[in-house]
Amino acid sequence: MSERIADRLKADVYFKQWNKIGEELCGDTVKVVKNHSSCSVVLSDGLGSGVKANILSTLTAEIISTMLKEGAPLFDTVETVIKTLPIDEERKIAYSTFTIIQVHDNGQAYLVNYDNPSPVIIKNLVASEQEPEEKTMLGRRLLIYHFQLGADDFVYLMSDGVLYAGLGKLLNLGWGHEHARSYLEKITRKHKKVKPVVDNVMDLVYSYYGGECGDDATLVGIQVKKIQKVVIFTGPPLDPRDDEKVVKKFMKMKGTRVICGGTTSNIVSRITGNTVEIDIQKVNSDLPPVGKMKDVDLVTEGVLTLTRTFEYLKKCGGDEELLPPKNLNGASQLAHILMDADECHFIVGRRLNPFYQNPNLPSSISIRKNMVERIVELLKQMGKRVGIEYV
Amino acid sequence: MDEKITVEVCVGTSCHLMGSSVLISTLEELSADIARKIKTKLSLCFEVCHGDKNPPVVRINGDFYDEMTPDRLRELLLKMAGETS
Ligand code: FES
Repeated sequence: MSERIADRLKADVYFKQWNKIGEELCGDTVKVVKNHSSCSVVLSDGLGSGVKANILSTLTAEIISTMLKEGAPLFDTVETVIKTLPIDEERKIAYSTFTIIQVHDNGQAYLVNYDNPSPVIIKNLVASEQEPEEKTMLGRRLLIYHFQLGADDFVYLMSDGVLYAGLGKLLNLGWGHEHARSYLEKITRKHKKVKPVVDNVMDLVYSYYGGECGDDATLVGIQVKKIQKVVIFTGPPLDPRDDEKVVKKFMKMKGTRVICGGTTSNIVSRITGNTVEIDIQKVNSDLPPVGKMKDVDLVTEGVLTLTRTFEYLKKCGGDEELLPPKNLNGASQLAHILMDADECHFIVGRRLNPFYQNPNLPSSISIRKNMVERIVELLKQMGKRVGIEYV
Repeated sequence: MDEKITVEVCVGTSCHLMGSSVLISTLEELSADIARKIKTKLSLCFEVCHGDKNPPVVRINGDFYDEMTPDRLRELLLKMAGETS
């Protein structure tokens, strides 16, 4: 009986904040902690505003994120912070409220909310009702949610400043949770991406406040995604007797498959029996065109394309929006594929093409290996898991 | 019966650097008359550039031609197209 192995999941996090009018610092703090099997996000809202609130919320978020980073269980972390958090004697409220969510790579999510607005959970693009469990810890009321998320589900955390937007101005009582929730649902359905949703909603909040925010406001968007893997095969194996073994391994690997190099693609063609199709419409003098092959997502030329890919990746500084359009050429396609990936694996062949030894050629194409290593360095800096294997 | 002439242009690293994209433009600029008789394909490397042949390389009906120039390519094809008609 075959067992279906579920795709591993990850969480993309994006947030935006507005400071209360006249304040240099935001009284809300967001911290994100990622490790190999989970992603945790803390949103803490300090009492009051300005420096004092900033220090309080930073302290709270810092304690929580440091403990989680060190692998402390979520509930121990909550207990520690609850014990440490003092209560304002006059107002009988805590100095800092918080929401913590932990999303595991199997989609299990745990959320603890202490006095922040309820989270908005969107599953299959529909806002879903999650009944929290109430728990009292040292006299504080905590709401605990436990739910399952899948690819392209969203969770939004917010500080109360988001809901107060419009209070006493455009809208009598602020726009409130109900309205915010249905708006988030609508906008999520439209963009299906966390950044434009958060930006859009925060712009709306800003305009409800008439450009003068009466409170610090923070909106955190979390989008669950499948972990994207890509495997790149470039360069013929040193020993031609290894060709078949390497190709079979490459074709068995999971994820997006890319071949960089004419000779490499010929080897794959010979062993799989699948030919490369190249679209003549896409030919220009800039970079060689790309090809398609069955069960391979992209086939490109080798060193020139890799060199250009490196340049694109370096220039964009980790921001996908600064890459050239995907369909510009082979290098832009490869750069987008690599940027989308969480895990990249390079299979680098060491057989040298004697032509590159030609002293008349520009030195930038001297060594494939060198170029791959520079790309790997960049990808690692972007926080991706990268493997490199020489054959 | 009209046998088409198969023209395969290499667009691999070496051939690209030595100007294969210009050869493709040459093919695209052929008169409709001749273009009709030609079947064009692209290759990512014929594996002949590693010493034996000098890029850019074109394969016409199975035969390799190296150090190809637009003029030579045009002439060759005009001649071959003339012969097939
Ligand atoms: S690159 Fe053209 S034959 Fe090798």
